[in-house]
Amino acid sequence: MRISNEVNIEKIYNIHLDDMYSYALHLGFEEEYIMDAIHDVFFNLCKKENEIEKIENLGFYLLRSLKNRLLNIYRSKDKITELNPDIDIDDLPFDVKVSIEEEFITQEEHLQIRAQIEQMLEVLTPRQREIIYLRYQHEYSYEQISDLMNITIPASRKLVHKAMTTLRQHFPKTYFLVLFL
Amino acid sequence: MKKKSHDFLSDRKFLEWKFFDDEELNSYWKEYKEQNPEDIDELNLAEKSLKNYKLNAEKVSEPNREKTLNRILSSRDEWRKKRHKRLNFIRITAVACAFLAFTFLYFSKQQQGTSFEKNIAIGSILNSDSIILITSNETQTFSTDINLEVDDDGLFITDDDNEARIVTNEVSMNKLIVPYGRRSQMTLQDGTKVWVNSGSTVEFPSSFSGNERRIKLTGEIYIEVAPDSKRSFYVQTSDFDVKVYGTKFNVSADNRFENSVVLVEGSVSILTPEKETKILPSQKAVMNKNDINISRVNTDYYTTWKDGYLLLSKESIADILKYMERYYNLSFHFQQGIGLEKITCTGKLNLNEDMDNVMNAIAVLSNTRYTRENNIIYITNK
Repeated sequence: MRISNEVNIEKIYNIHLDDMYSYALHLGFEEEYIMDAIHDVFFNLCKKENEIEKIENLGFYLLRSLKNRLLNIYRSKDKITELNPDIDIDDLPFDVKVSIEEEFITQEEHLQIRAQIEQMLEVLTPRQREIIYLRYQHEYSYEQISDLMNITIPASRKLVHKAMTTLRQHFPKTYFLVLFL
Repeated sequence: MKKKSHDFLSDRKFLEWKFFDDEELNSYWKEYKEQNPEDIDELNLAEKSLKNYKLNAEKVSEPNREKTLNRILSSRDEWRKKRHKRLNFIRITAVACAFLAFTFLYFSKQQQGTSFEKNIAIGSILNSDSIILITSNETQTFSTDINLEVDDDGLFITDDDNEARIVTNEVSMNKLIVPYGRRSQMTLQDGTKVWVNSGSTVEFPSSFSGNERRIKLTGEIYIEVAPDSKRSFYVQTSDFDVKVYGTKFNVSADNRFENSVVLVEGSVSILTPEKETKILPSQKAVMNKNDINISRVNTDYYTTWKDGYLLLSKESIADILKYMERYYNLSFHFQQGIGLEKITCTGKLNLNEDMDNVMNAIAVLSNTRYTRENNIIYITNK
């Protein structure tokens, strides 16, 4: 016996909505377009309702569909107004906001740790921040990330490595200190 | 000194290890654990605590969350209704196909032993079939002429009383095969309108990506290209390409008859392996083996088929039958010098789906008599 799809779509929506929204918002897309694109992505998923079970990582699938859909919406918007040249995913911004889920330490300690993390990510380029976010927050594999960011797998590994190099250039002292702890 | 979990959390090297996937850091902390077993518990606790730190944990506002969910569910319900309709549609089409196959077989038997002597022209139907649409996901057939629209969700198809939607991959190519005696119209994703004539095949993408727009053609189309100064439009055929910016023209790429381009409005170039030839409005370019002949024409004569009729001005019956051969995939047998070149027609000839109506009109216009027995057509002098 099959479980009704009615429940399925709603459940999938509730589980993944915030992740999808967050990713798109920090890529600099406007809320109105994000929600339109989220509608389109889920509507497309409804049309493939028999294939949903076959999708390996639904969260990843949805995130990728959303990004593609948003780029398409923005591209067609550009086409109508003919204001901007083709939107380039390399030029998209990516900012990172650190938040804490549970208060397990004092406010002061928390702010200090948060500042450390933010400082660390601040010096990176938008693409470096994006890949660190995808690795840390979503624990995606390099294969998935290369798919999502439209780069090769070696290039995605290199991007993380580059992020590390960027970091070391900015905070060389810290590094030395820890080395001789 | 024994460390507390908080010491790790405020240690940049610990944070770097957790955020950056770095080999060097991995081995550093592995070694650290080996050398400082007393710290392992607190280190594990620090790792666990860090999990509470989230990057970009935004939340969709409650009203927005609900509004979008309702939109999704109502889109889905509407689509389900449409799909239900579409399933009926396919069943009807399947029956129609079976019938056509039957008439074709019957004709093959009838043709044997026919005498040509008494008649000045005899035509036979070579084949007949449904319109076929092939996409990356499915193949559909239609028993009536269709109107196809490419939009962001895929292909939307309407005919006299049904509509259907086919979801396609954005980058995928689709193929529309219009058999003899039929026509179809489509609007591409960029707004370009294409009228596909009888006996033609057009390949087109679900979405134009990159810096050019390109479709492939065998047969005949009339096309109104949507202006886009950044992306040229190409009609590719087996022998030549037509490059356009924003214009209306007719392309006929049918090796059995004529390879030609008739320009109604704008400016196009014909690209052959050897050269590029520009043509002007009201000009017709005919591609021969080695050269291109350009002449001035009344474009109406070449484009009215899209509206379902032919404009005739003292055309000889022989020429019209030639067109009928192309349009309905007929084959006429007549001898030279029996007067078909001398009988001319002037007027509008409706290109009906039912060939009998057309043949009747020709008979009236040319003052001949037309009879048909199954799939054999006889034209005689009155």
